[in-house]
Amino acid sequence: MKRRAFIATSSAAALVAATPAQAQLFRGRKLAALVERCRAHLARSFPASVMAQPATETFLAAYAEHALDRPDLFPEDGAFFHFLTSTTVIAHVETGEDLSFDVIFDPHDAPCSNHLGALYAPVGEHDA
Amino acid sequence: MFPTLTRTEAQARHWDIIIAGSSFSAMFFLQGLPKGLSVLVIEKGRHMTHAEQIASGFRNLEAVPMNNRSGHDKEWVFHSLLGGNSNCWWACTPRFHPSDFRMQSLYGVGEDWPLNYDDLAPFYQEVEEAMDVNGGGSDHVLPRDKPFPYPAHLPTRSDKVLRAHSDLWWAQPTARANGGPRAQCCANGVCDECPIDSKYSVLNSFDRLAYDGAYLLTETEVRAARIEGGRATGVLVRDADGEGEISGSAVALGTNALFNAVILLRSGVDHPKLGVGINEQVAQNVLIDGPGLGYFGGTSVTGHGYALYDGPHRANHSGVLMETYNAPMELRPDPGKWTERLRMKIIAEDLPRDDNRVVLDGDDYVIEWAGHDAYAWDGLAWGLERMQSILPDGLDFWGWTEPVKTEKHAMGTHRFGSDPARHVVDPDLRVHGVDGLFALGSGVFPTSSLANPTLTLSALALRAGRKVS
Ligand SMILES: Cc1cc2nc3c(=O)[nH]c(=O)nc-3n(C[C@H](O)[C@H](O)[C@H](O)COP(=O)(O)OP(=O)(O)OC[C@H]3O[C@@H](n4cnc5c(N)ncnc54)[C@H](O)[C@@H]3O)c2cc1C
Ligand code: SF4
Repeated sequence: MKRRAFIATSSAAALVAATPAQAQLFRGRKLAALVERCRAHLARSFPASVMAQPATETFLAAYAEHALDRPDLFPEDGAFFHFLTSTTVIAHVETGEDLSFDVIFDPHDAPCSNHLGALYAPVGEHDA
Repeated sequence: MFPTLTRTEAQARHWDIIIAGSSFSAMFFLQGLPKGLSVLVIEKGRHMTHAEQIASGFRNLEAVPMNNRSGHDKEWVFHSLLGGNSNCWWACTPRFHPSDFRMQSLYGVGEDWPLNYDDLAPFYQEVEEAMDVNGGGSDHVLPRDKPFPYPAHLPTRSDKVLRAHSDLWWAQPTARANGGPRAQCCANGVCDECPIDSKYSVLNSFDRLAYDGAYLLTETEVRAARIEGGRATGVLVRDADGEGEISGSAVALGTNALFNAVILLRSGVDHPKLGVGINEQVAQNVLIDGPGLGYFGGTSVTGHGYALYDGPHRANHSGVLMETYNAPMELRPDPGKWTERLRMKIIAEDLPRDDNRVVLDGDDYVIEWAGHDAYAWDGLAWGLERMQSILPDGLDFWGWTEPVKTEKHAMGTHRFGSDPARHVVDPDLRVHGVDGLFALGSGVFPTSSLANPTLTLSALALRAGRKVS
């Protein structure tokens, strides 16, 4: 038991001792992997033309940052939800508006950015 | 904000009226009172600002002791802080249906209310103006003399599909701002803690609730009304420093259906129906898929459906009220059909039962809960089945959830009516047999309606205040 405790302590110490550059590299790899997983997930639902948009890439990068440190999330499902609520993808598909992304919708951290609310309705949506 | 006092300062005076609680029923009663009275508002909880509530997520949720024999999970939700549940409500503000007031005469169920829709209509209007309620499209069923203070929120795609199909779908009336002094509601969908303070609350409306001569005492619990020689002469209170008495010529309880009953029981009000019949609506969420459905509405809950609300079915079981949601939203993974899913809540009315009751348990209390009446459960089952036939072609059920554990609308614990033998409270919300003692709030509701209770309980409290001379 004593020996196991010693190993655990020493491996924790090794982690703490990682240089900032190493830690950043590690995080960068995790981010890239998460982006890939979320991209693959979105590609099952959205056409290639949507997946090829620069805003989709920007979204995926921002979403991965948003989700990386949240073990409580199902990241792929979250990516799907946030792609629809944080970008103009519906308007883009339906009316050809540019696909744009600004911020990940979160009712508390970014209130009033729900892209499925009236504020972001596609042009003409609420014309009488 | 009202000027605040310490308990010692409050005890040094004799008040014309003491009001327990600081939420809807208390505040609208205060609004109705004639000018020039000295009024003490006593609130059990403390003042937590909106920012503090958002930051901490804490609102002093009451742990409600319950002996639940129903076989179903059950919850009750009450928050003890300045403004009570006005801090966390969703601000859905429908009027009750005219038939809700006449359930016994029309359907042989429950009891008629001692007043009707037309009696309450002017008070509904006043409360709607005070809360900046928005709405529209419902006048053919819920008649009104004046338009809604503000126009309805923009509908969702789903609402448009439903409204094109039948004129029994319309915008849910709400106090989530669409015009008026508060921030415009923007469909965040977390209304119990609205991050932009858009919905009406007591805290964000204090300047409009001001009353010359009203003072506030917080962090002080009213334990009982003091009743001497058949009249209320003050209250017994408890705070961190101990217990004491405060004198007044009249006492109004606005502490909600649960705590009003507890206070009346502790005060020695002896009535076979006191605390008996606690109930609330029962509800279930349904998901519907189909072409044309979608979002882009102006608020969280955007629509109401009344096709299954009123009618002869109410002789046998409840109808259902349908609510359509814009946020939080449900989405589909199917290519091109991402938003073609509608979350709808269906809500059935409960009936008060003698075996559901609030009783004292030593110094404390407990809810004896036998369960919702079969009238509600049968109504929910009927609603689920009938809904399929009233939806436009092409829309289908995708699934539904378990019934929710609570609608957060407790009522019926001190029902009102003109017969002192059967009713705890009279039609003007005065406790039968005790001069100067009022019991406000949804505790007075003889039947529960299918609709949200707060606009109605606020209108009743305003009306009761107006009757004070
Ligand atoms: C999450 C949630 C969402 C809701 N949404 C809606 C909605 O959309 N529409 C709707 O119509 N209704 C809604 N409701 C119900 C609504 O909140 C209640 O109907 C309403 O708040 C009742 O008002 P009230 O003044 O009678 O009591 P409360 O709001 O419960 O206030 C009671 C007050 O009395 C105080 N108090 C309690 N005991 C004592 C005591 N012994 N001494 C002194 N003070 C005391 C409390 O601290 C509180 O301030 C919702 C409720 C919840 C919890
Ligand atoms: S929908 Fe959003 S903005 Fe509107 S009341 Fe609810 S939380 Fe507030």
